[in-house]
Amino acid sequence: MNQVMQYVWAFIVVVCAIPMAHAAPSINVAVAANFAAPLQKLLPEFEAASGIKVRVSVGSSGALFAQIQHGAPYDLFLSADSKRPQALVASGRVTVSAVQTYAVGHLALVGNINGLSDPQLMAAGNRVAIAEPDIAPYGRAAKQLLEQAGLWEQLAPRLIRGTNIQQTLQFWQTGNVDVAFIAASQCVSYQLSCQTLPDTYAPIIQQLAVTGQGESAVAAEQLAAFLRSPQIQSQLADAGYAPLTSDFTAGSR
Amino acid sequence: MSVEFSAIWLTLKLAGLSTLLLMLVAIPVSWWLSRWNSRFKAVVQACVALPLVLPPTVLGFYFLLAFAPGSLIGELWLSVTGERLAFTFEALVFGSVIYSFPFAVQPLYAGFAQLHPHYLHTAKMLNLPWHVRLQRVALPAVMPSLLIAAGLSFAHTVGEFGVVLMIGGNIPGETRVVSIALFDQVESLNYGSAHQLAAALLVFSLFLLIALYWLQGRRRLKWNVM
Repeated sequence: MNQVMQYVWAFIVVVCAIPMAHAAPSINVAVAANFAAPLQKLLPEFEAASGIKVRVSVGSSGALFAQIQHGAPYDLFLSADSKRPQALVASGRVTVSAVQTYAVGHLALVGNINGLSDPQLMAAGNRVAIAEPDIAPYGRAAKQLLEQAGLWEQLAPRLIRGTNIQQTLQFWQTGNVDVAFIAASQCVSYQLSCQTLPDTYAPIIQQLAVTGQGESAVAAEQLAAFLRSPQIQSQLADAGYAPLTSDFTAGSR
Repeated sequence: MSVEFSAIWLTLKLAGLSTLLLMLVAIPVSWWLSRWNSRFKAVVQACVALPLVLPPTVLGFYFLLAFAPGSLIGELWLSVTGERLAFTFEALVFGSVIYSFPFAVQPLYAGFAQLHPHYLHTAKMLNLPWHVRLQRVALPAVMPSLLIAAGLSFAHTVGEFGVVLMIGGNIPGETRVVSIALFDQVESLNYGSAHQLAAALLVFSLFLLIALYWLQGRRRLKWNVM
């Protein structure tokens, strides 16, 4: 019995010692669903160069925002829109300079139709998914696009709505819908054959907010600068995002 | 308030219909379970209780796969109704019946198990046909358990969130129930509407549970949810 207890104590001591062995700085990043896959792809390069360990939490921009407002320990917030980082500024949670644009998103379409003018899109049996326009920036863009095309009124009552753009794609991947309006970045990340769509929606300006304090804030700013660097921005252009221009950082086109 | 009226009505409709179906299924199942003895009883009891401990995401994930055209349930539904099952009101009813099943079975099982065999023997000796025995003897004797089972099933279905989030698709008037509407309001930063819905759910659930405990106290019943 005594010997068993010795092993137990030894185990406890070892387990407690593990966190001390990893004294390398680490930050927590909250990322909107559409940017999760591109971020994961870029992180090894950043971690190797900076020595900073990054822990990633994925969610919808709305959910992550609510968590940050209520004290979640995230050091960097990568939102899918500009509304929520700006709301953090408005509420005094972060300063104006902590908010910057890091990507501009595009919509894409995946499914059994050939563009918006395909009559099959409006066929009663055809199921169409978008992200919920009220909470997901890509959903709002899809709504604007359909409004511009004069299809919204007729299509709205039977749209299947995902809570974020990742769930919207998942509806299509599981075979439960025929058509889904998703992010162009997802087409690249998951190697889907997507169709491009006309640019008739307000640009999807994705902003970040540095929400950490002290040392963590410095590390988070390093990651923000890395994402906004010309080299990464040109990679993002291949990943389904528009390159950053000064027009977008101002918040309008 | 008017905006979410359809969500409230839909939730009540879903919970009401699910409870009704649950009673139809749970009464025979719990009767049989209370009279059945076998080595495998523990296995069946564990299956019934599974939704109590499983994360709703496990159920939601399997439902999502099962409802898709090409899988058994989805294909069967498609061939019978000509429509796909996922993201419909019917899919939510189906999901809720499984999700709330243990809440219906366990109080009924306890009720039937406590029912003294004397009453049933006497009724049988009086040559009463089986449906009269069920109607006049067995069911009245377990009526408090039945009410508690129905109340808990209803309350639990109203409180359903994870499963609906995964198989609902958030369609107003079809699958957008109160818990989902509340989630949307919070995510849209409409804390005012969120407060109204959350308070309504809180008060409703509290009063339903008070009614159930009151019933239990009055009838000196023992009921174990878990």
